[in-house]
Amino acid sequence: MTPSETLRPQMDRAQRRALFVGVFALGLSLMGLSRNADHFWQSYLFAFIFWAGLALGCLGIFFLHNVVGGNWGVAIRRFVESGVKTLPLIALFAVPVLFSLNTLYSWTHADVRAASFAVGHKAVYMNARFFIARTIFYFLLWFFFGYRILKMVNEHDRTGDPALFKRIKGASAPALLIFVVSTTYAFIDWIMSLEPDWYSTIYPWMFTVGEVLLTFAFMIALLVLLSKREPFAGFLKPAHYQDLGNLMLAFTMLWAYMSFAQLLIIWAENLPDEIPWYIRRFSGGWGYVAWTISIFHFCVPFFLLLMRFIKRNPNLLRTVAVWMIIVRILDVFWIVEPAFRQRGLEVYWTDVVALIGLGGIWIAYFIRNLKSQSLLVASDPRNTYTRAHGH
Amino acid sequence: MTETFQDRHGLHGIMARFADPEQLLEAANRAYGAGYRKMDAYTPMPIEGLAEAIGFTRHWVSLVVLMGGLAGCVGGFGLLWWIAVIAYPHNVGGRPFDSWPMFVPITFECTVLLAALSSVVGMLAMNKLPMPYHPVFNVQSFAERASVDRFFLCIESDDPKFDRAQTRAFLEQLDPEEVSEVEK
Repeated sequence: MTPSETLRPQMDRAQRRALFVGVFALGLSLMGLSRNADHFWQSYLFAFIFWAGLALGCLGIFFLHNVVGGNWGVAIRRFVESGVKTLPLIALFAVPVLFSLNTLYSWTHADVRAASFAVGHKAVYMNARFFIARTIFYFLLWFFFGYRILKMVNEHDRTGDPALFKRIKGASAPALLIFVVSTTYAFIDWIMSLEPDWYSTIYPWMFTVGEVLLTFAFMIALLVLLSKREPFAGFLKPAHYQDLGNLMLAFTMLWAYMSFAQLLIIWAENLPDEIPWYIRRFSGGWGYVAWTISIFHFCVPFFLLLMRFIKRNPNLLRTVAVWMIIVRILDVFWIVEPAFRQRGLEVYWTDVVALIGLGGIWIAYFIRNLKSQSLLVASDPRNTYTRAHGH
Repeated sequence: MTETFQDRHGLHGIMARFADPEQLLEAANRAYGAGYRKMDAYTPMPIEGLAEAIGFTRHWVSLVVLMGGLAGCVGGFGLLWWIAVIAYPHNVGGRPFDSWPMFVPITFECTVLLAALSSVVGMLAMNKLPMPYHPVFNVQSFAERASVDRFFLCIESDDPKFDRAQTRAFLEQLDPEEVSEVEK
């Protein structure tokens, strides 16, 4: 069963609009390429990291729900699966980055390697050829595990075979582990190496947790958007929202915990090869961004999500989720861009246009995937909210 | 009249027994709709919406937890600040005495500790636990099955609308398995 007939035309229209906006904005940002290539590639990398994070967040939640189960994942299952199926598009988005390594990554320059002992020493690992090979390898890993388990899950939706259900669980557990390790390596390559003399072991995990948080926020916003329509209108209970709100709260706390742990350790050590990362991100206007993030990415959503009535009210929860998406954009921007813009806070018009450009195309592709199947699998064995005592 | 007076004071309430949770939920809603306010529902497992149905919408325990958490937060931070700045100022690698980022983990732990303790203590106090005697156990079938497979609604005698005969008649029309008077 595909999405109900009333929703279909609206999804077609949303897909067309997203594609149009995306292609238009990306075309506009290409004008930036001819004007200032450095700025364009900085913006492009930021946009790529943000949307790759959302797709990878889907992959992580997909594996996680297969392993631990629970009602929370039943309502958003198709969204998450559609997100997993956007990974080929993310791989396509990555290709231009691989062709502009010289512009983006200072460790590709011989003079930087010669000037810094640490960076020169890392050249065995951090060189263009190996970097490209690793990126290809990450995508192959994600495709392999993502699509293999997706195929099993689709098979299970058709047959309901309990033995297959157990096999999905068994296959997803190592996949989750591999997801964590491979995203760790990927984020070290893609963003941590922008400042090649700096290192932090909690950094990739902090980033992955932030991206899973973004994904939960995105899924909640989408679920509330569709909640008045079938098949969701007759399915969703306040408990579904509460579960998802609780997960968003848990990941907000986990994100804050990791971000603060990194800050605390580096601040306390105050070592010359570690502290510059924070000096850059707290000086010349970036400090305002940092404080904004700590208040609006943690303090405000934390207290809001503690309250039960907010988590059980779809409209209020959606407000928090949309808020969370906005501060996630800010956080990714604050992590990526100060590596280049060390004079202080600078925002280029290409930052906005590239983000919208890749985002529009990604969302169009996401909707295309969403349309290909039913929006809800009520027969999911993990669904107990609507089966135990239905009305 | 004297008889009614005695009856009211000799009775904890009137209790109805139901076979499934949907019936209990329905009965609780009807009783609240009929104007009864002092009632309690007893079930072997949590039932979504039942607390709201009997008019239990204010969760004071969350306020107690918030107070406990705030006390832990202020107390924990204050303790560290007092130690590091006033009682035992100690130069660690030239850092300022009030290095507040270092106080955050302990402050957080104290917040969680006091919030958790106050939730346990507050929950017990507000439920008046431990309670060695409660009249509902005077009903035989309640004592045997309330924590196994039956669902109970008790309208208590101190409800202003309570009337021995009328309340009993009201509960009986809700299709219960049994209606019994609960002695004090």
